[in-house]
This record gives sequence, C-alpha cells and structure tokens, in this order.
Amino acid sequence: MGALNRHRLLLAMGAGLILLSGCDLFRPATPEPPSGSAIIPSYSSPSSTLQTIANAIEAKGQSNGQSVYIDAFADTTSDGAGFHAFLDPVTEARMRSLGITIPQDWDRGLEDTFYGKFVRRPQVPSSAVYIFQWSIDQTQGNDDSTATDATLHREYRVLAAVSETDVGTIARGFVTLSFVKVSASRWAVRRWQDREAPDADREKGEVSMGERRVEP
Amino acid sequence: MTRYARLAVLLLPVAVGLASQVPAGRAQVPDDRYAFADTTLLRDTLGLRFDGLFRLADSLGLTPDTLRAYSIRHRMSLARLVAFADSIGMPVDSVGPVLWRERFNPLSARRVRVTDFVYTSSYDLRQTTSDWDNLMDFNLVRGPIFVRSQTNVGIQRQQYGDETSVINERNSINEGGYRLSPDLSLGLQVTSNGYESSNPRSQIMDAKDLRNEVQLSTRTRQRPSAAWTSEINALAGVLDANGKSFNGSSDKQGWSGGVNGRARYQRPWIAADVNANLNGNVSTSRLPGSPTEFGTEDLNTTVDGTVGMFSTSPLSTNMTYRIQNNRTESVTDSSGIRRFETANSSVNLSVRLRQDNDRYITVSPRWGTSRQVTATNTSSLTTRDDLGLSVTGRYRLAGWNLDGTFTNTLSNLEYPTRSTTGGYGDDGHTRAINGIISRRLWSRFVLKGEGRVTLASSRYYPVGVYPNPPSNRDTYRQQFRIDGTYEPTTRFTTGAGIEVIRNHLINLPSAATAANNELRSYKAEWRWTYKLLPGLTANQINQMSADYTYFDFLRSSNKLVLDYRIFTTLSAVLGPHTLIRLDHDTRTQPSGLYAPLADGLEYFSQNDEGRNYTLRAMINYAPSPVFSLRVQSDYLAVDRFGQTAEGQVRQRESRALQFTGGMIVNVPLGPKGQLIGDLSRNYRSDGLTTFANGIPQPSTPSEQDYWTGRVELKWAP
Repeated sequence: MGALNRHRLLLAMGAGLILLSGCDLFRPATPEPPSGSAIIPSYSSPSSTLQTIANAIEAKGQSNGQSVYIDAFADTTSDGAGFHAFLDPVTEARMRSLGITIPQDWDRGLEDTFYGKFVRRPQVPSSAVYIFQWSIDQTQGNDDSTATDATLHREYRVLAAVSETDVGTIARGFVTLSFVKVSASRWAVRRWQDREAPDADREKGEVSMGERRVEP
Repeated sequence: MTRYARLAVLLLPVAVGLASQVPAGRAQVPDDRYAFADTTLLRDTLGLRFDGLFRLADSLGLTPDTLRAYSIRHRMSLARLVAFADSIGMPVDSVGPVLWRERFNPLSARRVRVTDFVYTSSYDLRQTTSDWDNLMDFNLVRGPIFVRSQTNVGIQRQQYGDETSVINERNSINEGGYRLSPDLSLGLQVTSNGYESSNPRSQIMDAKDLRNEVQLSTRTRQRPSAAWTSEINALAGVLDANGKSFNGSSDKQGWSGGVNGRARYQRPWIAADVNANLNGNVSTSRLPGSPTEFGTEDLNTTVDGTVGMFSTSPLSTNMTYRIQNNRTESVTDSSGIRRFETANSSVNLSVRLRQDNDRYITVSPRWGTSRQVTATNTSSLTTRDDLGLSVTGRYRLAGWNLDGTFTNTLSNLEYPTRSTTGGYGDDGHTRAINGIISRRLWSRFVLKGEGRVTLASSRYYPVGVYPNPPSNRDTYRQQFRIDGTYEPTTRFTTGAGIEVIRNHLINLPSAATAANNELRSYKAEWRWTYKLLPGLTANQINQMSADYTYFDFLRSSNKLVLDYRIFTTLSAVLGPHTLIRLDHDTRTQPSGLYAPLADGLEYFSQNDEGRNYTLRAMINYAPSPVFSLRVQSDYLAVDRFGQTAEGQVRQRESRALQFTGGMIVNVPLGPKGQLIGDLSRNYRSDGLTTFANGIPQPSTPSEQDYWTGRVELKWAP
C-alpha cells in the first residue's frame, strides 16, 4: 500500500469521524426539570437490587420505573455478562401445548418489553396499587455468594390492590437468581431460573413470572 | 422520513472503504490481536484440542467460547467441524441440526447393510433435583429396507421441602420403509411426544400433554443439474393429542400432514440455499372430559435461506432471509376456540470489501418485522419492526491493528390494544460506535486501546386514547480502556490497565427526571504471573475501582463506592498426577455519600464498609486417564461495618465453610461402551451474627450435607 493511499485513507476516516461527531447522533436529549418524586435506585448488593426491582414494579411504569427496573439486569454489551431468564419446564410445556412460541433466549431486550406489559396488564384496573413481595425460599438451600457472584433463592408474590378489601394476586412463584458484580456499586441479575409454586391457585392469578413473560 | 435520512451518514464508511482500495499484498498474521484473549478457553477437554481457536472464531464471526462450545457439543475437533460445515455448505452453527436431520433421511444411507444401536443413559444428581435421561438410537438398513428409531425418556425429580414433584418427558420418532430408488423412499413414521407432571401439593396433580402421530412418509431427492440439488419430503396421517388439567390444552383428533424441502444451487460465484416447511392439522377438539366438540385448524409455514455471492473475491455479498407464519387453535373454557397467530419476517444483507483477513470493511443492513395476536384476547396484539445497519471494518497499518464497528438501529414496537380505548408504541433508536487499536511494541510489550460510545433512545406515544404510556428516556454510555502486557522473560508476565466508564440514565418528562443519574466508574488493574519454581506458579490480580453516582437533581444523594481487591493464586504441579491450587481473595469496599456541604464542595462521608475474604484450596489427583480424585475446601468470611459518631461499628458477620470431595471417571467399557461421570459429597456450614448496639446476636448455624453427580453410560454394540 503506497504512502499516498494510506494518507488518503486516514484523511477520509478523520473526515468521517468529524462529520459523525457533528451530526448529534450521540448527543442525548435534554431532560425536563423534575416535578415529582422518583425511585432512587440502589444496586449495591444483591438484596438492594431485589428491592429496587420491587420498587420499580410497584411504580407501575410511572416515574422512572422502567429505567430503574431494566438497570437491575446485566447488559451483555457493557457488563461482560448478559441477562437470561429460564422458564419452569411445566410452564414451557403448558405454553407449547397452547401453540405459543417461546423465545429461545429470554434476554434483557425482552425483559425491557415485559416490564411495560406486566405493569400495564389490561385485566388489572389502572387505579390498582401493585405490591411486590420477596421472601426467602427455604426449599433450595442457603443463599451463596462470593466477592463477585451471588445466588439467591426467593419466593415472589405480586398483588394488585384496588382497595383495602379488594386485593388480587397477579403473580406468584419461586426463583433462583444469579447475580454478578459488574462494578463497585452495581450487582446485576444475570440469570432468572423461574419455578412455579407447586400449590399455586392459578384461578386466583397465582401464575409464575415466567408464564407472565411469555403469555400473549 | 427524517429518522431514516440519518442513515445517510452511514454511507460514509462505505466511501471510506471504497477509498481504501489498495493493491493486494501479502497477508500478515498479527498474533498480537489475540494477546488479551481468554486463554482458559484453550484448555483441552474430552480429548479435544482448541489450537487456533481465536483466529478461527475471528474469521467465522463467532465468539471463541461459542465455537469451542460447538466443538465440544459435537465432539469434533475445530478442523473437522469447519471441514464438515464447508462440505455441507452450512455455517458452523448449523452442523448440529443438519446432522440430526440427516440421521433420519434414508436417502442419505450409503451402505446396504447397517446395524447401529446406541444407548445412552445419564443420571444427574443435584442438591434438590435429579434428572435421569435415557436415549436410544437405532438404525437398521438391509438393502432397500430401512428402520430408524430414536427415543428419549427423561424423568426429573424436584424436591420441595419434604415433598417431591416428578416430571416425565418422552419423545420418540420411529420410521420404517422401503427405498424404491436412490432418490425415492416410502415409509411409515410414528412420532410420540409426552409430558406428564405430578406434585402431591399441586392443584394440577396429573398435568399432562400427550401427542401421537402416525404418518405415511415420502422422501425424494432431485439433482436436475450439477449445480442444483434438492429434496422434497411429504408426510400425511392421523393425529391424536390430549392434555389434562393443563389450563387450556385440549384434546385433538384429526388429520395431520406436512411438506418440507430444501434446495441448493452452487456455482463458483454463487451459493444459494432455501428451506421450506409447511405443516398443519385439521382436527376435532374438545376440552378434556367435555362432550362439546369444535373444529380446529393449525398451520405453520416457514421459508428461510441464504444467498452468498463472490465469496472468494474482494467484493462479496451474503443475504439471509426468513419468513414464518404460525396459526394454532385450541379450545378454551370461555370463548370456544382460541386462535394464536404469529408472523415474522427478516432479511439480513452484508456486503464485504476485503483485501485480506486483516483489511476489510463489511456493510450490513437488516430489516425485520413481527406480529403476534391471540384472537380471543385482542389486547395481546404486538407488532415490531426493525431497521438497522452496521458497518464493521478492520485494517492493519504500519504494525497497528485497527478494528471498528458502527451500528444504527431503528425499531418500532406497538401494543395498540392494551386497553379498550387504545395502547401505546415505542420508537427505539440505538446507535453504537466502538474502536480497538492494538500493537506489539519492542517485541515484548503489547498495547491495546479500546473505546465505545452507545446511545439508546426510547420514545413512547399513545395509540388511540391511552393515558399513561411509559416515560421517554435515553441511556448514554462511554467506555475507554487502555491495557498493556509485558513479558520480559518466559517466567514472568505482567500487565496493567485503566478503564473509565460513564453511564448516564436520562428520563425525559418532568414526572420521571427526579432521580436521573450519572455513574462514573474508574478502574485500575495490575496483574502478574511468575513461575517461582518448575511446577510452581504464582498469579496475582490487584484491582482498584471507584464508582461515583451523581444525581442530576438530587445532589444530596450523590454516592461513592470504593473497591479494593487482591486475588492471589498459587498453582503447584506435583508430578504428572497431582495438581494443587490455592486461591486467596480479599476485598474491601467502603461506601458513602459524596455530597456537597455548606461550602459547595463535595465531600465523602463514609456510611459503611464491607470486607470479604475467600480462601480456597483444591487438590486434584489423577492416577490414570480414566480416574481422578478431587478435594476442595472453601472458606468465606463477610464482615460489614457501619459508621457512627463513635466510629466504625460492626453490624454483621457471616462465615461459610464448604467441603467438596469426589471423583471423576472416563472409562472405556470395551470397544463399544463408555462410562463418563463425576460424583461428589458436599458439606456446607453457614453461621451468621448480627450486632445490635455492638452486642452480638448469633443465629443458629445451618448445615447442609448432600451428594451431587452425573453418570453417563454410552453403549453401542
């Protein structure tokens, strides 16, 4: 390759970068000044990440719920590990028997979409308050953690309260969650292994989050 | 239109590529490009070696771990895997499905007398689950007569406290027939798929879903010219499916059938493949136990393929496409028939201008659309459209390796019927640019710099009347890293790196902006490896990082988390059979507010501090290639301190001790069998003490003692 050609190439690349930087393609938008409260996220430990997920679900997509929720899950493009959710085999078989196509890999992009779908369920009155409860699942052994990874076993329950007396369940199940420490202040979920509650009353809405993810 | 006009800027890299037309030169092989690769991927396993993994993965456009996983899954060396993929004209990731498909194609049999029987049984034992899988594969050919059978039966037991649920899954496909000519066969195919689960506490005590089909099969193969090959197969028969207590599954009896085929056209300048599959059924369906019957129809159509042109010339193109439509009907309690429909289409095109493996540019536009809806639940309607373009380039100039990628993707996702009055849509725009530059300097030093900028935008809008669509937001990320490795002698290697990351989360409407924040991470790392003695190697990684979280509108909540880590490993090889490894990991993490005080300056006021220590010892003794013993112990100590006016106060301490001891076997059982497996006994004890006003409040220690293992027996008489 001649020196002249090299210089032409470098000049063309330099011109390209200058043009690219000038077209605002990578300039984020300017936000409006705040007019209300918002969730202050914390991902500094696995349990605080779980609490942030609960807060985001309870925000029902209002305020900064969507962005706080999805930030709790590992991003393969920036965190060195990606988020993947796995269904209970029972859920998988049930969905397949209904002819529902299950994505081969439930990743962070699908989880981002799921949040909006889950907190805006048309079957739930928009005035209902969501309550997300985590509790320790004693059936799968103790939680496990090292300096960079952690595994937690939890039971979850999501309630929708229209009034003090009118409270329904919209999700219930068990999950084994794997976390990865992606920076000094952030533990992100990288694996959600869902399990249906064996005594779930499906007629009362005690359906696993795994099924809520893939149901139409 | 304005949004799409932005794509015009992407023509620039094409122009750069065209401007860089240079005379062909000698291909250079820059090994320093892979100087920072994960070398643990090169470890031998199951008799497989992975020489040249990084270079091969790079040229195939796969990640090294993915290529390695394919090699292990198919038990093929990398060279054999790639040669096989070339021979069938498929990418490496299609080798598995093609192998599976061809096993059941009687027209692929070359020999006139074949008797193959393989039985594989594996038992996988974990703390609360156990899986027992049995796979039988039978293949018999006697001249024109053929019989194929493959049956897989799996039983999974899951422990819930003192109760056990059982899942039984079985899949069987059997076909027998007569080969009328080398290109035509007739036969009978019987398939059976079953799934049953039971749980003593469950309300769905005996959930099951069984499906049986008996079909006449016709397989044909055509070769109209030297360049064309094709095959067309047809199946037609009866279907019997029934579910029970499965919340929506229904009994179906009726007729089922399908046609599938594939064609390949190959010339020196073009290779085109097309696969088509159409299958469905016309059935009478009813709810389990119900006398009311409904007519249902299922239809699935898929067409996909690739077209590659001028693959060995400097300018080459490749296109992949896929069109898929599925419609499934089932009976429901409330509204009779439920129809579920999905439709997906996508096209990916890539144009590559290539001088050699170290100098090329690839431009790849792509388009995709999908739609899915359940007829009885119109709120489920979802549509998605994607339009994107990526440009990837690589150049080696004066010893420097330059890699760059630019992607720009526009997407639209709509839920138009989320409520009775409307729904909402999401216009997404993601753009990313990254570049890597690396070079070997003074023969012993390799330098690498990497930069990446990403901006993802989501803009939501109502469809019809929908009061609360999600909040518009942008996510912006910058990442820069400089890394260097230095190898002064073969006994000593060292390296260092620094990284700066900026993550800005920006919700746009005023109701959501209060907690907008920016995370700035600064990381520094120093690592070294020293061979102290023959067989004794020390390795250490030292890391420091600081995460500053700045809230745009809540400055009093600004946070700082510091993290110091030292990870040391000693590896000793004591003769040909024994390996000892010792790991020590210590981590200290102070954190607190980094907020402005009255003078307007920001100060760090520590709130708490976490300290983690891990000590791991592992001994591996392999007296022979078929048997090895392994013992490992892990000790983990986690302390947490809080900051009070009196100083640092202990809040919580936990200790965990785990022992694992077991064996690994890989035993050939004569010339036709093999036993592979591992079995371990695990013991773990956890203790936790919390402190209230400095007074320890210990919890009762917990103990676990359980076996884990996996045994696989393969027998091919």
